[in-house]
Amino acid sequence: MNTLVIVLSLLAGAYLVAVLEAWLATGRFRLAAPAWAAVALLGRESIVPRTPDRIFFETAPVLLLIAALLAAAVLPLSPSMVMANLATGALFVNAALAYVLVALLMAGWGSDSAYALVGGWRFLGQVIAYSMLIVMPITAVAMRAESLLTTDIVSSQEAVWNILYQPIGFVLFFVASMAVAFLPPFDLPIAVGDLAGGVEAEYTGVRLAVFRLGRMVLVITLAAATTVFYLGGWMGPVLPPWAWSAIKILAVSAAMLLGGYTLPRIREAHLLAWCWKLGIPLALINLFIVGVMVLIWP
Amino acid sequence: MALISLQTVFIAFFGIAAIGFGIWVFRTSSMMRSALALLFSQTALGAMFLAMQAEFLGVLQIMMMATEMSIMAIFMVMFMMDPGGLGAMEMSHQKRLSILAGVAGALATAGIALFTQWGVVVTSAPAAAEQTRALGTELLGRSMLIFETAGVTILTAMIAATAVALPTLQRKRNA
Amino acid sequence: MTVERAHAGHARAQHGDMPFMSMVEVTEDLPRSRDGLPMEWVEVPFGPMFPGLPGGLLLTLTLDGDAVAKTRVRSVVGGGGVLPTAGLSATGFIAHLEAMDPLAPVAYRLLACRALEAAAGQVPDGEIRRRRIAVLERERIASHLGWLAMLGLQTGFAWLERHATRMQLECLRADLPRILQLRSTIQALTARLVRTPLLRSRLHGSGIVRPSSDLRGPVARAAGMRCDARIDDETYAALAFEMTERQGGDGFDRLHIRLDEMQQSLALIQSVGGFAEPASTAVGSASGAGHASLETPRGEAQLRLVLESGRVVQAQLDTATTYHMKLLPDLLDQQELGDALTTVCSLDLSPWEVTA
Repeated sequence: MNTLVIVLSLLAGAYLVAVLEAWLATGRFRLAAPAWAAVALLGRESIVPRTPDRIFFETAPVLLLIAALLAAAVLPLSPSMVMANLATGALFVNAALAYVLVALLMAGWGSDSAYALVGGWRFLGQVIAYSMLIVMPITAVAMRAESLLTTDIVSSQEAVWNILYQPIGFVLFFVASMAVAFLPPFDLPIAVGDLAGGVEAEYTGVRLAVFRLGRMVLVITLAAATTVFYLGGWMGPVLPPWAWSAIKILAVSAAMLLGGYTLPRIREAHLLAWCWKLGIPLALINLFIVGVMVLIWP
Repeated sequence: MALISLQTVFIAFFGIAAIGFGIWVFRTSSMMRSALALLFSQTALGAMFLAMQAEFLGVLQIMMMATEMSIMAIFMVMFMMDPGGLGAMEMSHQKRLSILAGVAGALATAGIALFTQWGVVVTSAPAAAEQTRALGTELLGRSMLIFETAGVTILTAMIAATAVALPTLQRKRNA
Repeated sequence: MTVERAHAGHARAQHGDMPFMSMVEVTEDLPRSRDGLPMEWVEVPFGPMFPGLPGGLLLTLTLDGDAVAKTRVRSVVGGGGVLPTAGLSATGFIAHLEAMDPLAPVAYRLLACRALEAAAGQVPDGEIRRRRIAVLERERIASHLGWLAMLGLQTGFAWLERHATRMQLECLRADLPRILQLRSTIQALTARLVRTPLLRSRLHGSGIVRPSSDLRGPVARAAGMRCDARIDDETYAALAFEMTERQGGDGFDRLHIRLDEMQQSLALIQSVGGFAEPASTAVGSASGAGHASLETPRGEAQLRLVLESGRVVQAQLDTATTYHMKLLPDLLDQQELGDALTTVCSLDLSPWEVTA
């Protein structure tokens, strides 16, 4: 029952993110836009490229969706609303997100097209750049909570939210989340202006619909992770816990989308340089500061 | 009883999946398929850990293998002559030696499993959080020096290798 | 495109019957990259309908990983300036040149009118000349806005793409009061683009061109060349026109030049105070040779034509893009794919006006 409710709310969230994305892209707010887009995609012929790696090509969009859903499974929307409250929840988020990379790699290779291939390898090239900035801030969050349980992580922010307790970690995690969900300005693997769609380029019809859905769920999942790790999860006055979770998650995903709307795409070399030379040292400094703070003011 | 048998079913399922993917590694001639088959074989092992209630180890295995095997994939594609596998390249080499090594390895593993004094077998696995704590104590207590030394050595080696390979530094040195 | 097949063919052709394929043997005759790694190169077409590149431009890049190893470039819509063998009447010629480049129809229409007038020995009234300039400058603003929209699409800067497109549509047919209202919008756009994070780092240092005789228009002015057909024009001189220039020669300088030029064009339009579309000239049955040049949004275009009893029998056109396309192979060499495409975009090519 709980699982069903959470999956449905994830899908609803993904739908709202799609509405927002369409709003930014066209300048018109239409609630039905993603529904029509989905109907159009489902009705369209799903073309398979000439000599694909069929297994990879078919598996990739589904794997992307599954990875996003699995990561969401350990994130609580309220003290009781969590699909699986694993004792290793914070680590599990990383584990599930790692398969986003695998999905993109499979899509890039499976399409047998140069645009997709370059897009897939690009995402792999960035892996250390962004995954370190996901893992290390989460470590600092778990340090404060002294637990990997996501519900414990939320309760540890009772006094002060992590966004204030470890602001460096929040900024790094937020930026790296955008890179994991390949949102603009980090949309290098699916860049329209560079690669005509990149890993998405050869997908049409149902397969593209699944791919897009997977990406929207991924955005919501990452926003939920940001909320749980940094914004005090379900905590807030007056409104019921699930409502606070929903508000925060939607606000974070809106911020992620808006950020990309007003910025040009980052250069591949600059992304790597900044993440390696600035991001990783900052993440280590964050770990150190939080470590000291946990000792003097938990 | 029902629970135990369900657990056994899961362990068996993931074990067979791991072996199946492992076989696929050598049955295909595409580097990419081979690398990803290995990835999913290792993921199945991780799932096996989970089925055996070793949560932390399972999740860690699943996480590490995704990135590690993906990185291996790009190196296989870069350095092998026929990454697409359209030349139907043979994936196994030195067959006699590898069969011998495989049989010896299997026998050794089985021997260790059967003849080690494992001590008293507990009736139920400790809770996941407890396991994580115990593992942490083991890694950061008794074995800390070993792990830290190994970690720092590997990191230094990686940075040094990168620095040596940087063309800008070479150019400066030559000038 | 088919990376795998190329690989397979290669492997089979030489080593199909060998029991063990040696890495050294397989890679010995592969092309060597600059970094010394032997790798399979992939030839990828970008265009003629690629998002973020001008339509009609066919760019074939040979990619070594994601770096550009070789560039071939060709316009699939160019050569429109060629005359039919029978020649054209004066009005027909003007329409022919106007239709040649849908990205700058007014500029080419005006160029045709001027060349015809020069051939027929006519000199239009000063006020008409001034008002024609205003129309040309309006097209320059529209063209630069169109370029900004393309840059927005190429660099994934959705806000810029949307706003520049909307402003361009507003500008295309705007009358005098409407276009002067655009002034504050364009100022705001300029201020915003200069402060946009990542835009500077995206364009800075991309596609640096050094001054050479092959540069025209904004590309030349961004490289510090005094190259503008307008500085020798007395009508412009009377309007106190001053050329803008920058020294760096990279994509960011080109962006600045075009932003400055939009403001400058607005000032010119304001001091003229009215538009006059270049109309067809009554050349009657005049004969003679004429030459005209003007600064299109992409740089100086020159036209030489021969008029025989009112019909244009020979015409020779010289356009900016024809030169700029030749720059690409050297300019893109070893650039990362995304940077290379941004460089192409920042040159503002119009494949339609390519003459060869």
